[in-house]
Amino acid sequence: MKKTTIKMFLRKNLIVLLFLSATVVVLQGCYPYDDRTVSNSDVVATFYESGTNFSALVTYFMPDSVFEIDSNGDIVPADINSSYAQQILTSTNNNLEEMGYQMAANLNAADVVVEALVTSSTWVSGGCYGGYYSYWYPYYGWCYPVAYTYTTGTILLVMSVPETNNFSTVWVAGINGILGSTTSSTTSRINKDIDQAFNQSPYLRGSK
Amino acid sequence: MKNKILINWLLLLAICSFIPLSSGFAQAGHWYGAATYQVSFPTGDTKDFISDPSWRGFGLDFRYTVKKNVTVGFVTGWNIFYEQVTGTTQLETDPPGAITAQTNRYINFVPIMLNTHYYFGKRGDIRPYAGLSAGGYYVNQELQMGIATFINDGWEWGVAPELGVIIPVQRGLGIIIAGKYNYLFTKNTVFQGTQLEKDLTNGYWGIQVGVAWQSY
Repeated sequence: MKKTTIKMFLRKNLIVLLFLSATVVVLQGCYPYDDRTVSNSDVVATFYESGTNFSALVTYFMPDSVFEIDSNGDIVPADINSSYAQQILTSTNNNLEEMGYQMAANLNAADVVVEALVTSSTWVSGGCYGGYYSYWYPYYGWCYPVAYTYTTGTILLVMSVPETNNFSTVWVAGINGILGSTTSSTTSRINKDIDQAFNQSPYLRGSK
Repeated sequence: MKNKILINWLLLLAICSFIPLSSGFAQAGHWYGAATYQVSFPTGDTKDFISDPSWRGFGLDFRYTVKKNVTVGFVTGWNIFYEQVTGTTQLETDPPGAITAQTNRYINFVPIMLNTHYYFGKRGDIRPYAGLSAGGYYVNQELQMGIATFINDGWEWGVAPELGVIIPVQRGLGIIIAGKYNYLFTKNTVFQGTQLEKDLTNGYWGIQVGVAWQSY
């Protein structure tokens, strides 16, 4: 039998090496990396207490402030841009009324209390800038380490039924997204996302 | 980063794929290789997660003739499924709810399997064949939603029946066209430890087109 050398073998399988090299380059080039931006980072989640008779909940009371939870765990008026706060309250009121709820004069006259809370968090994330190759020390190779810092904002809308010494939560909406740099876009996203929270919660309407 | 890890896997697989050939220099028979571009179509639970077909895939196949019409060998590759979905998902959790977001969804399959094939017809003719691969898949599944990323990866076992044809072009070189169904029968558990935990049975059809050659 003819002796096969490694050189002969590699020559015969040159196509494999070329194919592999090309494939790695092509797949790296066309890998579907995510294109997350500030505006498409928004997430709107809603949950409700099953078994709640929303038809029986007609009147609502909503404080005229937006709140936050401080470091002690207390609920206090939020320190945010007043136009954002007003936008949150207005949009929530509009949606509640559109769903048939009527604003009550005070807490005692309300079937439910709706509160708006906000919070923000700053995140640091790491990653690789893959298109970079350092010729100088330290030689990063394929991965040039980079750090990203971004701030996310969350709006919580909480609907509760007042009880004797407590409140029973029947609906919660959580809206989260990366905070943008312009007031107009942030306002637009607040409106859009609060509308979406109610749109995906049709049961709130009940038979109203 | 995940892509780099996969590429490292790929390079490792490429190196490993030559080891049996090197150790088989003194053995009788012939080795055949096939390199294919693959388009894949998800089925079952895979389709529930990503409904779009995959246009990003390749396979590398080595087959050794043990009888006139029979080969045994191994196969590897990489199939990337991706879909961007924007919409509302109803959550059957306790309490129940719904979530609206733009999601980026990925599944990477890297099969590493042994196989056997039977060829019809004569050497030098167009040769239809039927085969079966059995082995494992490295599966990396990822869901990006808002700023959160959920990654689930692991090893799954599966089988892949295949029908194809090799069309000779010149001595030792041909075109290979095949269809293969990949069925991963061990379940992939996603969102472990959460109320969204679910067992997925992955599967996909693959159409493969490429070149086959006699390695030595």
